[in-house]
Amino acid sequence: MWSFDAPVRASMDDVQVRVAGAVGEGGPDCVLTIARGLTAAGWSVLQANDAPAQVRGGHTFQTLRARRDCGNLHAPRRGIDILVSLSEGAFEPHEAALTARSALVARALSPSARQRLEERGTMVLPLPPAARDDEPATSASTAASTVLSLLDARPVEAPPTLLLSGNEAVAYGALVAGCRFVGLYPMTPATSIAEWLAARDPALGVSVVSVEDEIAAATMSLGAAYTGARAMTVTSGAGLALMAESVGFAGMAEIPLVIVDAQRPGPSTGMPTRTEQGDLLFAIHIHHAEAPHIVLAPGDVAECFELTARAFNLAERYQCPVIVLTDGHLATLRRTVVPSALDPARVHLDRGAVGVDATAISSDGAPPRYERYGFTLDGISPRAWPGDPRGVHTASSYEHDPRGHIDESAANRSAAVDRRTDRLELARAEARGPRRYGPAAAEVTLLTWGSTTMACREAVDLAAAQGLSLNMLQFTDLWPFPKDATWDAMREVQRAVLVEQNSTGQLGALLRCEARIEVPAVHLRYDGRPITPEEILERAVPAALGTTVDGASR
Amino acid sequence: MTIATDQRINTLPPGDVPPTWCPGCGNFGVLAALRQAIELLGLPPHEVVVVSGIGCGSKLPDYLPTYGMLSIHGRPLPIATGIKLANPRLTVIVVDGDGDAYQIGAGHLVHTAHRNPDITHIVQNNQLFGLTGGQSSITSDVGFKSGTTPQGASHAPMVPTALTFTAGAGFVARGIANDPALLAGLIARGIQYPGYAHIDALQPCVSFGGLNSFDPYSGRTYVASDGAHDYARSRELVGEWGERVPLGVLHLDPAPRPVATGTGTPAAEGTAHHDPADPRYRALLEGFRVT
Repeated sequence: MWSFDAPVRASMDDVQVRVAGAVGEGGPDCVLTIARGLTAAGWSVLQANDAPAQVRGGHTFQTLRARRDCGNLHAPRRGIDILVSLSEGAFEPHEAALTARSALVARALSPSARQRLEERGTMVLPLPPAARDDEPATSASTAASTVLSLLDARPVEAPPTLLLSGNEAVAYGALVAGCRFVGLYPMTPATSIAEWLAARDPALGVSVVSVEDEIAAATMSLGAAYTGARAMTVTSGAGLALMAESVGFAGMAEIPLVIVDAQRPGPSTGMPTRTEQGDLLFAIHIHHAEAPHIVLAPGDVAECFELTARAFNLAERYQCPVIVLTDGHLATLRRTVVPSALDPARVHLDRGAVGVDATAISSDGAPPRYERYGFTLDGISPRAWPGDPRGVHTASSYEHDPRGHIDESAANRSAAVDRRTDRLELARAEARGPRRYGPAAAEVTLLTWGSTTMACREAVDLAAAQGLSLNMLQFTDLWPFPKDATWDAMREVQRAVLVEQNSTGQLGALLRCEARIEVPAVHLRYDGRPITPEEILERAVPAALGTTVDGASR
Repeated sequence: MTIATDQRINTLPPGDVPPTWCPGCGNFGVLAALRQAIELLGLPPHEVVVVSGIGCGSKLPDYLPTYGMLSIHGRPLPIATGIKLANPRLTVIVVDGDGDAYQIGAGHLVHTAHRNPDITHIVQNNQLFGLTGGQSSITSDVGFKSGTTPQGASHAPMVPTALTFTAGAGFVARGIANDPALLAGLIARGIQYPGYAHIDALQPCVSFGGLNSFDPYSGRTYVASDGAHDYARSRELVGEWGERVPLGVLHLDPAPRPVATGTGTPAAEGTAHHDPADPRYRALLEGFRVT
């Protein structure tokens, strides 16, 4: 029988801090100060953000989970140990989560609020008002100091970890992978990737060019990529929609281009600062007609680094665009990461087939000439870049012959389509299958991709602590879909549930279409707030009980 | 095989494939003029990239022995900007049409003129959409009848030279396809100009032109200036369109604005010499370390 009870935390060594207030009151700075203080004290921390799309006012809160023992930590859990209320009444939406073990750091409380909190047994610590109304940062930093002293966090000699966000990990991964050009039209929540790169030492030479629209962002990056530069653009779903034609062109002309889509709830403007995984099938089916491209989705901060760096290799090896899907939750989430996970030595450059050599030159009696789009054994011809006197060719959006010239002949068309799409089978063969977390065999398996990976891992840990049998499979390589590896991984699965941050179960659709695997149980959330480990254990897992996965035992 | 890196374009054959343009098409004049300008300046063909959009005239890069890109409709300007910023050693030329530059890509036109990358932009302006069957465009004259304007175009034609001038272009010129010598000179000067150079190349359509074939221009066009005039005269010339159509350099900014560049080492070179083991990258990790 499945029976999960959210555990009561027994000590202040695994704590959850929440900072609530209006936008513009310094909440993000306050929580960052706490996160940095705890990191410096050797704790592991993870900070998630909840903010409305406005610059001042409204209600925003940041949740920080921290472990003194530096142990595993994948997602925030239920409950609040310390709540900071930066403005009067800001704590009220979170009051129900306070217990007799909690502390509230707050400015002036109304008599009725004070009485309620006393009845609950919550300790109330005063937060002195800001010296001036226009300096909210003062009370934010006072609040941070109060929290750090409550937790008795003292700096240690050499903090073992780094503290960074998903967007920062994407940016660092791109930089280490040799990205030197970023065309940018700002769009939340992707923009800070470009901002991080733009703020680096100009000696590193990353050109971040702010342009007129997302079409220019994609096409300008594509132009840079055509010269041999590693180039990227970053955006969110609506921006990706504007880039769709460029993705097709990059596939047709075989130009490597990396696009990061930090997804947010849509369609249209949606909820700009919140989170969703609604673009998976769009990213996969972004083309009109047919062209090769690759879709990857990191599931945590370290994977943001690793998969972004890998995206550049795949783009150049297969000479096609690569879309990296993150989302608002992962983009803005900040956590401690061991330095080895971001080690530049882990990044090896694979620039694919490059250069004009004998194999690229025709030998049909005509003068030897370079064929940019020659019919090689694997369909991938070496690239040559403008400036190379031997490599002159035309890159074309038209159907073209091996030299790049327009060719509408039936025979050339069929062969050229095959040449472009055959590489997807090569990419599929090296695509990573779903990654398991938890025991090899389990009563129930969570199936997920992207940022929900973190909540699923936390759920697996929570279940293990209670002796419950749960594991998970996380899909990182989504297109071309790794069918064989999926069948291998699913063979051991008894019961499964899809855990996705969208309303239709898009990974489920992919499993159905690509692997003919039907997963009847789904747990979907699309209110813009990240899925929690507790809801997975309380609702997703029970949904899987009594169901069977169809097609996995082939 | 040895390859001369100081090759001149005139030593090379016309191209691998013959143009598919209609006999008498103005595109032939633009192609000849561009080739002549490249020869005039002695540019090695492998250091020239010609980027086009979509339309009859945008097939032009297929007919040149330089690097070329037949891109997507309306987008050659940002593509060319990316190429130039990533490898400034290249000579980057955009050849597109009025549909590309003045219609679907008008946003890019304004921003490129304003951003000022060192690229040369030749717009084959035939005042209609040729490849799709002669429909009216933003530069069609009032009364121009086409499949989409059977009663005749009702709007006044856009005067693109006024637009790029206003957006900040420092070099604004107009040529005509039936005077390739004049056009070649303008293209050569545009390439030499340090910044964005806009050349409106009148290129009447012999198949669908109607009002816009070469005849209506005879007697209207005149070579107005070689650019040696003041700002007030520039303003008059870039906006002049009607009974008289000025050719030549309509505006040459005596105090050009800064040319757009990338940051630090050009991107193509930066990637070519990139080494993840460079200690500067590991040092950046310290920025994430909390002390």
